[in-house]
Amino acid sequence: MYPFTYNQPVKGEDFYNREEVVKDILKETALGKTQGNVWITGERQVGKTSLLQHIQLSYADYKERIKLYGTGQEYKIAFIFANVQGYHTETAFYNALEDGIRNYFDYKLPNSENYFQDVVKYLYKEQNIFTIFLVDEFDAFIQNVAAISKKDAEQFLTNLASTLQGVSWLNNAKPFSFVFTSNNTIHELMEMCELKPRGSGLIIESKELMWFTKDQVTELAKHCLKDNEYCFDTDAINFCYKNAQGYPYFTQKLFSIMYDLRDKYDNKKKFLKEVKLLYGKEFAFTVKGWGGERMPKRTLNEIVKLAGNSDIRKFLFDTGMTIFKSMH
Amino acid sequence: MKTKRQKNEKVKTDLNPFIVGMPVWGDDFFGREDIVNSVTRFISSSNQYNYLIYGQRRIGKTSLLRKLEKEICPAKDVLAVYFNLQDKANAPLHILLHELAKHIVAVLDVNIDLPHEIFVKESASDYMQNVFFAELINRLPSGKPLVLLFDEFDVIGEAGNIRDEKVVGVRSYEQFIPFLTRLLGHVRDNDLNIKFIFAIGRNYKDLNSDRYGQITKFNEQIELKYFDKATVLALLQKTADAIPFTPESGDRLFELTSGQPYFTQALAGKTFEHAQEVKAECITLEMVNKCVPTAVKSYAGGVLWIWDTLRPADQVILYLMALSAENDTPVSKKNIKDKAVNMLLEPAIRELDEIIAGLLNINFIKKNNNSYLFATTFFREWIINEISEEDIKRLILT
Repeated sequence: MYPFTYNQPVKGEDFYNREEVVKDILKETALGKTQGNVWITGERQVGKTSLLQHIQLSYADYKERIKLYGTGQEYKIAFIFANVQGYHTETAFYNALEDGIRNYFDYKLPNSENYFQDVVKYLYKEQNIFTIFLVDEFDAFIQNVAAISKKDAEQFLTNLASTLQGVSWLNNAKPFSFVFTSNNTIHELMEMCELKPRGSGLIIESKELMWFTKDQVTELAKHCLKDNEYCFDTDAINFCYKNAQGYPYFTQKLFSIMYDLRDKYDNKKKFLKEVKLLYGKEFAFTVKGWGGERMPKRTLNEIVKLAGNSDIRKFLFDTGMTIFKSMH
Repeated sequence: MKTKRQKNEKVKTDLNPFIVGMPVWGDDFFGREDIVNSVTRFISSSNQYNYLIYGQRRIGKTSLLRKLEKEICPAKDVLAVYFNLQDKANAPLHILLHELAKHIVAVLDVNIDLPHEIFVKESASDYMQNVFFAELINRLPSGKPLVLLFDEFDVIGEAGNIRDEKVVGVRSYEQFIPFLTRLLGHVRDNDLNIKFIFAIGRNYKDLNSDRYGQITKFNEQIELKYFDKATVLALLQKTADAIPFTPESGDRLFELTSGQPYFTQALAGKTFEHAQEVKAECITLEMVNKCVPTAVKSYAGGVLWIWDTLRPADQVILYLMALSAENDTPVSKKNIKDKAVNMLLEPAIRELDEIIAGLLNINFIKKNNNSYLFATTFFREWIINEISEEDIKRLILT
């Protein structure tokens, strides 16, 4: 089995280096006193989707009960994943959450006009289940709504802010928490979409999903090759870290190129030349695929810094991006 | 007496006792004795029907309303129903009223039919005013007053201003306030045992009297302000059994947040987390200082809504103040003017005196001899981290 994963969410024991983030999310949404919500910001392909899917799968059978604030009652926790990238309306957003619930639970409620409310009520009141919605690509959804109507986007966020504190259809109880992922912070997103929602605002703790440290890159290499005869030496890992700086996608990508060319490692000079050539082309290809200068600004800024630190600048000329032309 | 190991193990498992942003009540509710007393007097009074609680965003209005609902009113043998208006502004009035009626009936557990055909268009408001509340009072235990607690009342009043759209039709932001005005009049005229408490996220004098009309003649209004130092220190006692704050760290935390409730919980929470991670015996002043950037970053989203309540002119001046001095030292009008000139932002200082007076009035800054300081260092740090020169220049252009 190919040891490196870079174009799809990482699963199972290959999900690595995020134990602290997962613990923090659990504390903030359920296990701590706040029982609030979390906004995870990170660049493209930094591992946001992997993180949410890992939580849903790993905690599918979570045994720990929590006491909900102000109720004294114990609840089980269910983690429901939903990707909302392709949706454009508030109704579609809640339909996506409904689909997540339907996919997760064996028992089904009959469809109704207020299915989301009905099923959350049922889970909360009849099954004593507190739901944590893991909502992926939330900023894409907001941008979609805002592109059609800024007023609708503002109204959605105003309504959501109210929902995050409690719902009148459950006598102001708060039967769920939310974790959102986004390429942007809340402020960046509001500025980009020119939105000014009203009211109390989103009660939410923000977290940034960081790149891997050098130690984590070293551990990642060991982990991915643990069942392999081959392993990277210190020079190889240093080379990878120097060029990818721990950016998860590019780290895995570069490791995979180095792995493919491992038979040429004895001739280090030739090896590095070939790796740089292939990586440079892949980097440029990826940058173009992510939208070039139209990619999320946060990701673009990091890509530019990354390119500036690496040996592959000359390849970036091919992207046609102005910023890279000036670096050449 | 616990051994060091036992204490460390307890600390590892101790929940962070600070709750950031979500409403609190019970043992987690601190201070506000004067306001609780004032509202309690209102609830017990006759001939008083509407009361206003106002204050900045993230000051604790919802917590106060929830405490009234869950503790104060029951203790006085008064029925209370909390209702958040925030997400209702855009709904048609008949839908809002239907939701309000359903919510009241569910919370009070009374058996009142709410025929669907009634809650369509114009008939809903007449039904609520003339039939529903009278029937509700009849069904409640004899003599028990009912208090309706309306949160985010200003959101419903101001929704129609957004984007300068012509306000047409029967949306709640058009019709709910006139409905409430009529209802209040009906309650007064018929001496119904119902009281209304409204909470808004701004100064009540800013309520547009054309839009809010008679509602602005509240029997009483009270402002929710920052915690005083005694309340902050009492709040910090929550960690006394786990990892206590030293007196110096408590003082420093108050200095940095000035008792702003959201900032206080945010910084206290992050500092406690840090103390747990490093297995500290106590929380020191250095730890509090160290955790300011983390707390500002983690809760930046909530502070954004506070920032958004300010006018653009206020935002620009606060930005200039934040950049005008190293650390949190007093800034004079001259400092602000010089900064504006350096940054080519002269238009911002044309009405500087008036803006400064306004910011003092709404407690975002305080006077220090002939200079000015941020009311909370935490907010200054947020501005430095979150607001860019680009953001400010865009404000000037618009």
